[in-house]
Amino acid sequence: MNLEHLSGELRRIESEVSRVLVGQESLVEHVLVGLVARGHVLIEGVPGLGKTLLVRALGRVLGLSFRRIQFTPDLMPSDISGSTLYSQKLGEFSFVPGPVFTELLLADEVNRAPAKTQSALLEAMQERSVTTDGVTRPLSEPFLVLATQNPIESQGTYPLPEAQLDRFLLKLEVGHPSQAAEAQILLNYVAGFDPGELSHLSQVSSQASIVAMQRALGEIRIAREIIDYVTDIVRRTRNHPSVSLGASPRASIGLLNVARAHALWEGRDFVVPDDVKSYAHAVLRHRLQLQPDAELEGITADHCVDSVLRDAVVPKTSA
Amino acid sequence: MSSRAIRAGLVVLLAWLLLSALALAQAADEQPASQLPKASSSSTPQQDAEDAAESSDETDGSHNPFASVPPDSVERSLSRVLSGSGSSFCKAKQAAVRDDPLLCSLSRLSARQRCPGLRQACATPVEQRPAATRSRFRRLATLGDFAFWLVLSGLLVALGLAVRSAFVGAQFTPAAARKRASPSSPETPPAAPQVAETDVARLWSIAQQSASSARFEDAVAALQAELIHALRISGKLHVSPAQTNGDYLRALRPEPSLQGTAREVFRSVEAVQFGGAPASAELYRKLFEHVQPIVVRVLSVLVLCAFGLAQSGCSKPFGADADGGGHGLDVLTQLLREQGTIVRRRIRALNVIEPEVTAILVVGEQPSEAWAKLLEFAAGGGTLVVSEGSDQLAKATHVRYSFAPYQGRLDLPDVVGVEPTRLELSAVARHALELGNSDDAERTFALAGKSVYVAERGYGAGSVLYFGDDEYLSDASLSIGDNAFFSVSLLRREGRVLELVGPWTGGGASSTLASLFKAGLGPLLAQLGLLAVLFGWHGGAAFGLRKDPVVVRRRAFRDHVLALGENYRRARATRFALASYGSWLIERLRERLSPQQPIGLIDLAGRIAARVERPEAELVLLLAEARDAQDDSATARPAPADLNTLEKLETLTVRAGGSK
Repeated sequence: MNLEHLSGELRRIESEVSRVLVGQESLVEHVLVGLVARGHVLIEGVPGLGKTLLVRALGRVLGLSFRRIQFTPDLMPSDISGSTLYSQKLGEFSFVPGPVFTELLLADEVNRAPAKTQSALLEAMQERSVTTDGVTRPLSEPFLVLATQNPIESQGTYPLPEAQLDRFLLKLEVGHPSQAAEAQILLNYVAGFDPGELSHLSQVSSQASIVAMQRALGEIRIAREIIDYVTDIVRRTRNHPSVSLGASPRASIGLLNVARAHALWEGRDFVVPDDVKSYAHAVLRHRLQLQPDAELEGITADHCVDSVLRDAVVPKTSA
Repeated sequence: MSSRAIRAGLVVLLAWLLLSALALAQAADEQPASQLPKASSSSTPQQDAEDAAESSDETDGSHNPFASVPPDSVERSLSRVLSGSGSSFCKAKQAAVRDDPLLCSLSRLSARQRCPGLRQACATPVEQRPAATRSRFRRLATLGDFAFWLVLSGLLVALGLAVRSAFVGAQFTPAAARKRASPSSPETPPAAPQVAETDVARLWSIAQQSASSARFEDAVAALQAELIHALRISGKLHVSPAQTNGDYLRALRPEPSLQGTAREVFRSVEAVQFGGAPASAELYRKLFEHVQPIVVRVLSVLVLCAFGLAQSGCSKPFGADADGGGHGLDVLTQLLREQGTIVRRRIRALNVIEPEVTAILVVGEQPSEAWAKLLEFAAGGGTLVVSEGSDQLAKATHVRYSFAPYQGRLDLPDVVGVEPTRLELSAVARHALELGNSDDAERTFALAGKSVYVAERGYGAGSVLYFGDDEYLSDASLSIGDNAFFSVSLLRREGRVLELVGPWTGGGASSTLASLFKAGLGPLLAQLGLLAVLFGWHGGAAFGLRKDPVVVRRRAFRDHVLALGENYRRARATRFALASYGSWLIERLRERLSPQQPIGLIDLAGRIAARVERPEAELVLLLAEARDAQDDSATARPAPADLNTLEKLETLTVRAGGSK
């Protein structure tokens, strides 16, 4: 395993995607880390921030197939997973795969579909396979779901239950780009940039490389102190006074995997406390259920994670 | 202890501190009250009469100062002072004072000796002293001196070597470390520190020790900690147990070079701590080279600060003769106090001289601006006593000091009103006075041969009293002959203030609080004290006490409702609020007015109308409005009408007997 090579490849991917997605370097990094950690990413942000562009650019740069589903209230589970149809020509039933059979899937406004449809996608995310008519069909590797939801609108939506939110490895909050970045976006458009046309992007990676990165995670060393640090953070979320339901053991595993992926991103073959701390918000914020009074007071999950990180002692600290 | 008791105690303590601060500010430049003599303690009826005579004489400027002081009184005071613990020169027969030519010269000048030790030591010729004793003491003294300088030199050399090896040219030798760490080595390496060390110097030492013992993992960790805490001391980092190295690097963003160095150190140490990489001598040396310049910089600043503080804070009061060696002014001070004069050492600057000060004795050199103030004081009616010349003084009073060595008896001119044979004055003089022409009245009190040695000349409304040398007023000089009586007679100020002005004047404060007040920080200190009182009153807990974690309690239901209402207000959800409140109220009214069977809105309105005596149609419309709000609460826009309806519903509920 050549970590430097893999890390360099990840950096090249980020650099190439950033050519069209200006001012969202952190988002690209987080999505790539989520991809390497074999997780799925929930992105919360207002429309128009380039989420679709990100997935399309990623598909182009990574050399992966890309599909997009616009979630609506009348979307059916079979619209995602596919269905078995009778072919008059062949005189037999045949399976028509749904859009979930891809490598990069953008589930746009995932909370606009009812829970039944959401669960069809979430099952595919968790099991990485789809079962229809008793037949289980594995999904391709890698398989990354990027789900988006709008933080403002609440009418006509079906909020994802906690159990389903837990299946997302990361929840990212996308903010507006800086003024300089927005100016650069406009300059790109003036220069003729077309978001529908990404042929000028180079493919700098491949499906095999991504799978190799995912497998390389197993080689990343984790010291016992790091494991204790992770469990300490997660345990503290359960005892936090503003949290009614803390993070699950799945969150601990997720945090550990993400820390490994970030170590790979940094070109290290070992995890340091900073890997854990820098991704704690993204891993934990959607897994915490706050006390009603805390919510009324305007306390957010990020505030709770901040508080937890302020109290958790970093292993082998010099302080 | 209850919080009320703690609070009360805290307030009392702070009030006491504040009062103490104010009191110290008042007394900062004065002697402690306990040292001040009681004005009437040494006075007798006879003295009172003499004082009265003195006062009347002073008015015409021709009084005899020697007539107002009883010689016996001065003699008794002198005996007490010289037998005290502060005059060691007077008692030790083998005292080192025998090697002091001035003291021995003084002791030989007069037959009236009050210090037998000094006289005996000086009277014994060096060659007649017991040879064995002399040689033994000399050898011991020589040996002591040699040992002192040897130890001091050794310490300096050791310090220099330590500095050199630690900070300047430290070279780590892996071979030496392996040798120390070899199994055959009997030396047991010290255990790794279990508690996080935060002292940079100790961390440096730990790193060095660990490296010397070939425990490089501990050594590089100590180096990293040392770097972090050096940056903390220099104010570039805030260090806490919850901070990662990444946090520190982000904090160092404004200084890219420092950030680069720190990043390299952190990455290397993390590879050892978390990545299982071997910690080698090479790694230690590499990190050492990175950390060394930063730490040396910080430590140098610290050492300089400490040195500066030590220099500025540890010196003893200037002018004090703490060892009783005979050259101080302790005897004069105590004699004057016993004779009823309030003597105090002036620490404050001479900007404002208090009106109660009647005489100022100047010791040593003074800056020109001080002389201006002193002469101004004399011109205003005070008595200035000087024992050393200056250009300003000579220019103002036409009295100069000239070099004129003299040793022996002082003569008294007839004009002083004392028989020349009555007083036995002796001095080892170096200077004499040259009294220039002046219209001011002058009196000569003592002559050293043909030269004037002690004289007084008028200056403005006051006068200047000149002594040829300050040694004439020293402890040893006052112990012989009638020097003490002579000096006390001239300087005594019954019940009034004489201040000693010297190099210590204007140079510092007597206490930390006085220093703060002197620096103009008094009001700030008072405000801080007041703030602390308020804080203590509000918090009610002692400072520094460990507290249990704050228990977050659930709020009352009322608070939740208020918070919910506040959220509705913020979201301008008037329709939603009307829908929620209306549906809840209709149900309550139904339960109250028709508990047995459910009724519709019209029947409900009829029953309410019968109870509150209002038109039924109006109530039907009101209830229907509340019910309709439930249907469109999510889509309707905020409207003031909803709030009016809410208010009407509330009024209706109250008139109908409440909601319960």
